[in-house]
Amino acid sequence: MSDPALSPTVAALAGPRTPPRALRAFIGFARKRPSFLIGLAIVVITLFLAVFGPVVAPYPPERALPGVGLRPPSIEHWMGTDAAGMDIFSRVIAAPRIDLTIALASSLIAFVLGVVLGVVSGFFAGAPGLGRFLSEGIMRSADILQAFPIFIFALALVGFRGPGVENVIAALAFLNIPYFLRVTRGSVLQVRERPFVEAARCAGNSELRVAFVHVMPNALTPALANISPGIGFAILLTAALSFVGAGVPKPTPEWGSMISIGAPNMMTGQWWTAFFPGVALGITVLGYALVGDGLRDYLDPVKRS
Amino acid sequence: MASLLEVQDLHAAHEGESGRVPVLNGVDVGLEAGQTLGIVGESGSGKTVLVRAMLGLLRPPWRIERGRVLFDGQDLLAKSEDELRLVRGRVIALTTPEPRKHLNPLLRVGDQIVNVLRAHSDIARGAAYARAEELLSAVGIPDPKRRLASYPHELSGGMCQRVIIAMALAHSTRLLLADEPTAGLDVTISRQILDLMHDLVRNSRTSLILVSRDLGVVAHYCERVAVMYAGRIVETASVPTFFAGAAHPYSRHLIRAATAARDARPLQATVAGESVAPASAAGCAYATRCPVAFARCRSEQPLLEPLLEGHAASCFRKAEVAAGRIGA
Repeated sequence: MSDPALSPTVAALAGPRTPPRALRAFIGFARKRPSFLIGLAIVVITLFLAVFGPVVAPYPPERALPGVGLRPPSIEHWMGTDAAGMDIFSRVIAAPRIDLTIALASSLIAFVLGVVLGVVSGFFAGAPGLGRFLSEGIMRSADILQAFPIFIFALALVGFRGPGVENVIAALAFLNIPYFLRVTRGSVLQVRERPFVEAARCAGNSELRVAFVHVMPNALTPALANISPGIGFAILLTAALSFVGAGVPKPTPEWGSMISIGAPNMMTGQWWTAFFPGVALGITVLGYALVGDGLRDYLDPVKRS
Repeated sequence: MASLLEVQDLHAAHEGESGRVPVLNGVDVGLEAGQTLGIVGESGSGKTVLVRAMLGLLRPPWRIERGRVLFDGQDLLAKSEDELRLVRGRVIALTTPEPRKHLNPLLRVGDQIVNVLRAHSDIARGAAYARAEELLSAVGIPDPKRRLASYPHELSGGMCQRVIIAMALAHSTRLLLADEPTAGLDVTISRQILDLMHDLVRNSRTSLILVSRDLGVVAHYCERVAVMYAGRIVETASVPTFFAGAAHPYSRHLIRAATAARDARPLQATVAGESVAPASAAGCAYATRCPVAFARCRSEQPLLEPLLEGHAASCFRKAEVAAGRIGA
């Protein structure tokens, strides 16, 4: 969490934290936290599937197989088939490519923009002149953004630019910015009153440097903790957007749209169509949440040791 | 000798939701280059606000209402934030009580010192680390190379204060403001820290303002003393003059309290009454607790006026008190 530009020099000069050591410290840290290891395993598996999922799938995930509609789980089709005759297992393991791309990209964009805006708005809140104007302006913009219904926004974006993954990413990123912004702002409002912030000023640091080098790293925890639920939330919203036709086009393997396609079948007893993508979605969200918790501890030098 | 620092008629107040609370009510204090000045006073007398005000560090709801802080003849309070930044940490440095809270918990000590060094000079990163190591060894931290990579929570309170001092003296500082540098440290460590600070200041010919609640510390480490009460300086004198003939009744109380503690006598010299909110009424703020107050004290504010060369007190009866003719 230290200034990334500074740390390598310290490491090189000081010795005790050279890269192999840092790696060993990380392994030692992970060993003591089984939940973090489980989360890490899930994340690694989903990332692997995001890259190789469509390749390792036993059937083509987007092709309907003739004459096998709505088969229950069996040796040939581990998770059964859906109404169109597509193999559910193949689709479930092919889906991370699209789901993770959307969720990670939109969460990352929202995190970066939300944190930066949150630091600015929190650090300069109540400051005289331009700072206060900036701070208030950011908050009011966030209010407007949050007051605007996401589906209308997404539909407008799709209507304007045509359907596509990048529009879903943009819509979700915009939706998530205010959450990161608000938690960061709240945390910055507390951190900026701590004595070391004044000490940094005393040392002659500029206000921007105080804000981003001294306040921001100490105010990141709530935003970091928000990333993992944010990723899960993004996957769910991707599904919802697909459902109203503003998301990923239909045959593309995507957990959310699989759940919405399979939902009517559940009523008539073919539970496997929506159950397996739902489980995959749940496990993935859990995995990111566990990793998020662990990383938060790891990034805090007091809790780490 | 020319004055290095001259604080003139400084007024500051806290303007919170519950209204305006005056904290500094016309502080006048000066310091010559190379001098060491101790500011003593009880909690709430405005010591900390005073040193922060000197560096322009007061932020709303704090407000400076009046006064000047002349450093080298230039009014620091009239300077812009950008101009002040060139002064802070380079010309005037501040050390603080509770050293650990004044270090960024997420940055390694080395990074923080380097940050201070690079804030005011173009020193290369590698050279800055070498210099940081020198600074750590100058403040008596063993194994400085290893300590550069430590986080603040891995250091003891005394070590943290040493790091703070190292940061304060990273540039050729001309004035060091030390705000209760030993608060929260035990007695032996306090002694080491004060000795260290004293040596460093003397060797680098830095001027020092030492803020403390402990008169003994000020007597031992400073040449001059300024007593603060209810947002005013009520007496300034050289340390020998002060102990020989303090001219303010409050100063005499402080001296008696300090020596009682030293001589392990039962403490009879506690000051009666509550510390009064600054300037709550007309007249001397100390009048309600003062054993020698008379009618005029309650209606008129005594000014800080010289009694002798280099010795001033704000009391109508200063001459009598100083001569020991009336018991205070």
